[in-house]
Amino acid sequence: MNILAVDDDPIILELIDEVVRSMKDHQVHTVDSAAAAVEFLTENPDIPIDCFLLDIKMPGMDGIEFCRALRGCGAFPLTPIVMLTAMSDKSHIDAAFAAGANDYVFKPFEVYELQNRIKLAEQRASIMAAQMSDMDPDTDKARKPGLLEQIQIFDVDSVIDYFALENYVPLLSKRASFGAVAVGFHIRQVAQIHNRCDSMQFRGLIEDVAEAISDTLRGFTFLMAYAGNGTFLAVIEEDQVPLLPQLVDDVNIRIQRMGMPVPTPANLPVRICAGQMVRLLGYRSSNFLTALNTARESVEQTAAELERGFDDLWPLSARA
Amino acid sequence: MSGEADISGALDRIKGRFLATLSDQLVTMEQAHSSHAQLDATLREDALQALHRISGSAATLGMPKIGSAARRCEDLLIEDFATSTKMSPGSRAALAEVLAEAKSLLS
Repeated sequence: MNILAVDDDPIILELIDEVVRSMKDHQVHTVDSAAAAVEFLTENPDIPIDCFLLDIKMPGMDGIEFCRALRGCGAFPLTPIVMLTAMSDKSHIDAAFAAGANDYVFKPFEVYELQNRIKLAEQRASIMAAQMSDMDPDTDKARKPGLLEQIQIFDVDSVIDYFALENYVPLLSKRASFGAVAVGFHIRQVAQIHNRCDSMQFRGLIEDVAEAISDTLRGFTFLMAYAGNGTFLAVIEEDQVPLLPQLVDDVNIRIQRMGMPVPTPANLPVRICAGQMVRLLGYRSSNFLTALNTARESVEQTAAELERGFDDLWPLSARA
Repeated sequence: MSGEADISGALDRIKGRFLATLSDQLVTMEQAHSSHAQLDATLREDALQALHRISGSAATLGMPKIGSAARRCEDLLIEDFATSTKMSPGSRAALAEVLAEAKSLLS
């Protein structure tokens, strides 16, 4: 990978240089500011950057603004961005992930920890490269994503990729005083809808539902990701948890108003349901994924129960 | 194994440069510590930057004590400077701890 590291501390840049060099197979380029990074990218179009390591606290444009600018410029929509920073408060962590960061490493770091995070970024970069080739708008042959695939969603407030959400949650659970909940949202009858949709319809459905949930959650502090299988997972601040039944109604009304042009079973409108809220407090960082998995299982179980109830009330033979 | 040997050698070299920079940062921090009146904006910013950099890399280079002292002092100074241009007694004590650690490392 070609890695571009941006940090105003020359000691950190030297450390990064040595850590990356020790890993072999990677080249690192170092600059001391966001402005210098822009200059580097402009002057070196022949060096494809596969991963960014960004400090936050820098003179001029800070690392979070720069992250947002990188995502917004169109050239790096899926390139892994790892924040490497001493800023450990939740507001910076939230802002960095919301701006498009995929991972977050605290300074001071252990050498092996940075190596591991770079390896993770490398794995992510190769998956993202494959997804990008599927989404080439010029070919008009975008492959239909599988039902379980974690489709990338762009330009929806507080919606991040699932890999980033998995990195975000343990950062929070390390903070004993922090409380948050994970909650899942699921598109009902998604398998049947997926069967009826072409690629663009299904991708559009996922993006539109993400937007409806995000718009409805506006006013809450949250981050959300699409986990595949029609399921979205959100992590919401505990001290301002919304009332779920009301929230689900609001999202469904919003979806109705958006008028999603997708084929559905019996032409029923697209609807979502929500699962149980799962408190993150009390989960150890070693099993941080359990909370997200519990939220996912809860909503998918809720959806299955709703469909069973629906089938009991209205047998398939009666719908036509 | 050779990768590990390479990185430890490199860490020693970088530690040498860290200590060279630390002697410059020591001047700034001593200046801030000895100033009992208001600190001007440049001195406030320079002191915070010095502490931020020390706290960001010292532990990685095998000097966790000065790193955590610098982090504690930086947090206290950020609180002070949010409402004042002076250092609180608590911050001054924390800065003295950083200075003592720095002098010990440089001696």
